[in-house]
Amino acid sequence: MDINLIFRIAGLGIIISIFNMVLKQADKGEQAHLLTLVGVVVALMMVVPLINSLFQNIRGVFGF
Amino acid sequence: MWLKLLGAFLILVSTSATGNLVAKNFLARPKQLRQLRHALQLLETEISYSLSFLPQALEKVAKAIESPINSLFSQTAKLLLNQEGYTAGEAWKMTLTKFLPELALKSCDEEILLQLGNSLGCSDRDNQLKHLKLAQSYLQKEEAKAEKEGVKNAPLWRYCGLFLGLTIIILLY
Repeated sequence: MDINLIFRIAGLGIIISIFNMVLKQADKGEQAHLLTLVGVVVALMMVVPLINSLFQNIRGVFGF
Repeated sequence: MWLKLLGAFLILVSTSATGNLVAKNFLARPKQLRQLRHALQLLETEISYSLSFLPQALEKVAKAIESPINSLFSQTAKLLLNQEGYTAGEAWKMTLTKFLPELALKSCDEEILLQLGNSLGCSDRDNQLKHLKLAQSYLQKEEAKAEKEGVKNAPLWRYCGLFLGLTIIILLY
């Protein structure tokens, strides 16, 4: 759990929002939506290991 | 630390270069269409005023047009002058299939040119000129469309390459 993950997700979010604007301006709305979806999936994939370890810890704390 | 920076820089350069290549392809299409139209105009002039034979007319046009379009005409002229028994339409078609992958033209432009090949050297002078004028008008319409598309798409692909590079760097940092 390091602070870099937050910065990475923030950077990814900024880049995806800029690219979203560029795509919308070039009349490619569907691809803009697709890109947003891809960004959400990538951010989720970056966060899943942490959630996994959180659940392991909770199981350890409560003894099951 | 410096190695990381160098790697990030290389990734950025390579992805933006790829984006630039794709953008260049989009920008080259209207220019090539304009050259093609110019070449057909010259061919029309050659046929109607100098009454040259088709291979000589094609060679003169090839000398006056810049690459990459001139290779189409010079190759067709060479095929016809070698006297291997090809008709003008066949020689034109063969040249088209050989050179079209190298040009930035799309399949609709290819169809216009193939249609032109069907009528090359098959009719008398006035009909030939009419066919050339028809091909020129089609190409002009395509050129207007391609110009608009190019202006819209070229910066898009450039940014796409840049942002892909930035994303990869951020994910791998």
